[in-house]
Amino acid sequence: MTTSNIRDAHDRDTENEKWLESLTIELRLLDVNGTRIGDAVATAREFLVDSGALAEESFDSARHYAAELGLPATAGASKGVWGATLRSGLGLLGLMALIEAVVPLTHQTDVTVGLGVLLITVAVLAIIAFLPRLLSTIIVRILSHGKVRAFVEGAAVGLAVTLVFVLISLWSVDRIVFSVPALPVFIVAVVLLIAPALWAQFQYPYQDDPIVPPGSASADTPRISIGIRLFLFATNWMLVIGSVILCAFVLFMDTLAR
Amino acid sequence: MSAKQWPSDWMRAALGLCVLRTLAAGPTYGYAIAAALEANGFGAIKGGTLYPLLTRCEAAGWIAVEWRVGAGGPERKYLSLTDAGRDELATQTANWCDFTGTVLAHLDNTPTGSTARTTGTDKS
Repeated sequence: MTTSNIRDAHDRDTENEKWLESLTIELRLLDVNGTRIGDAVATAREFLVDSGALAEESFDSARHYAAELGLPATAGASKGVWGATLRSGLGLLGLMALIEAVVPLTHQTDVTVGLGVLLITVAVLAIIAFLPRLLSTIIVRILSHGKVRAFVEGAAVGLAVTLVFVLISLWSVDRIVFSVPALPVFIVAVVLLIAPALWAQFQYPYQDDPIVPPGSASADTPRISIGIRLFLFATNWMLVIGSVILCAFVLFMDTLAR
Repeated sequence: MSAKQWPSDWMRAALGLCVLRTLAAGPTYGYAIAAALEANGFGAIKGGTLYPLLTRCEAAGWIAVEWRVGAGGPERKYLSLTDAGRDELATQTANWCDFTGTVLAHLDNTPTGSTARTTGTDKS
């Protein structure tokens, strides 16, 4: 061992495994496919075992090494991220429109769209548009700062954004920009909510790209479990499920208010 | 006594060729290449320097890779020169010899008074 303070092999191995985990994530963020990642990680592990060195000393940071390797990105990976962003944006637009339309629809009145709603919609769409660019920073932050701190930071940002939205709503409570019949808004909202989820369900079935250790055929690797499939299904339909719950809540609050 | 560390620019220029030369002896693995280079006076070669270079050589088709799997899973990634790699080694070796010969000839050449004056009085 060189200049490191790590004293025994167990600590070194633990450090090295953490580094290899970071390397896996950095290569994932570069859209390298699972087979190549498996090869790169196994190669680095082999060198570390042979040399007895610390990964950080022998390979530099995982991010630097992943970039230095220059492995090719999977074709169409970035297209997939932007497609997901578009689907999320449309779905969220549908969710917001549905919540605005559901009460007027039950009372057969028009939907009044305020300045605040418009501003919040633009802000939410802007946040979603920037999310793919921020994703790598968020993941690296979770890795380097730990999940608890990352959760606290995320919650703080979420709270601040919510506070801004509440202030905008209060400021613009009487500023009506336009009003439209509730039924067309409701129909468009339902289409915006369901179409992206259906599109994702059939266009992008749960394609897993497992990390394939060298020497094992792709078919030997464990397939995606039912639990994970259910989780992915729920994630895809999350906005639809959420909108049903929110609409029920809004209708309940409306009933109480009358 | 610690091994001599060469300037990184020189290492960057020569390492690819020297790695190909190491592989000319037969299939071997990453740490063995690093160890052989260190034993031949190149100093300690880090994994972060060696593997990106090997990846580029593999992408160029100069190196073939084979994982030799043991009973307990994958063991070692063995690398060997392909025919294209052997041709590249021969070409690069000849070019390197020409280049180093040129450098040596220049260094051995005793500077004449007029040459020194020419280089020193450029902004007339």
